[in-house]
Amino acid sequence: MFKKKLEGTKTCKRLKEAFAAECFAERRFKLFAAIARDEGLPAIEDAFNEMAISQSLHAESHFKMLQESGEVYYGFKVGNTIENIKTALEAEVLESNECTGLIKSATEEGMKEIAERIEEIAIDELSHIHRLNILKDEIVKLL
Amino acid sequence: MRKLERYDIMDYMLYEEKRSELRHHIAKMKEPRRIFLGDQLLFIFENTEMVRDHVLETIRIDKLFSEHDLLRQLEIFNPLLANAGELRCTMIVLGTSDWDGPKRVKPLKELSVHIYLILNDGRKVYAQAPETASINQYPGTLKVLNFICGNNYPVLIGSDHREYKLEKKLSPLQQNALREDLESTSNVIHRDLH
Repeated sequence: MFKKKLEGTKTCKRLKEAFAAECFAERRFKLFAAIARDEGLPAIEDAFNEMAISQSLHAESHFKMLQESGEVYYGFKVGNTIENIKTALEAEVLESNECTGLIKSATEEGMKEIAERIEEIAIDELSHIHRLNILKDEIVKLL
Repeated sequence: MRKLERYDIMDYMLYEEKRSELRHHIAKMKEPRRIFLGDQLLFIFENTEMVRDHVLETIRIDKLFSEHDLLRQLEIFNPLLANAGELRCTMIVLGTSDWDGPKRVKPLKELSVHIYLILNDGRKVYAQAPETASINQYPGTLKVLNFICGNNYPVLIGSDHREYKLEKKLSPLQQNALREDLESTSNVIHRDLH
């Protein structure tokens, strides 16, 4: 635990923003690595992947600071595995909700292809929810 | 509707080869099964081929190559498929959500039980939200709905929810597509592509 309370401070707000930015950067590097691979540039692919790992470690560090301070990100608690499965379930439901907003705007703006792609992703989120539910039931049986 | 079996899932390399052709075929198949009811509700009626497409795409994207992973995908996606004489769909409530304030998402309460189909014999069948589809256990803007149609097919879809009352006559193309799905219990999926 930190000596000073982090909750509600500017530092806390910026830590959350920094965590999001690092997650975003990690994904961007991974996508760049995939493009380099497709272009037949394995050395560049490796370099991008290494940078992605580094961004991931930064994100982990920010997350641990938030966790140690007792702060939660987007209202999600971090706990033991069963609590984390419940959190992951809640997050997946929210992600599927997020998809529906996106489908609505894409449909309204005449971007049918985007709407249909997001519909597929939404159905994929349903499969994640189903899988997490199975994991939750299985782990409860073990306890 | 026939549930997916292990033999429906083609080899990864073969799928890569056939993917473009299959995706085109699925897009055409999806067209009449994607039904809007007003500007707030979208229903995607699933059939065996469409659900197989979800499985194949997941395997491709997540790079799932073990037998165990493939079987798990069947277990995960098969609840999207209806039993004989039934239709099943994913209902998407096209509300506006806010990721920073997720608690603000308030889909219409108890909407699922107010959705109905009128069949060609004039019967009205209300949707059921099967518990086997995990999403139905959580509040949200996506639901899996089931309609028991028997030997008849739908000609109209509607909602009698007090905040969202409307009906829509299904086009002949939509009626035919759903009738085909209801009659497809022993349909064989594109054997020639295997």
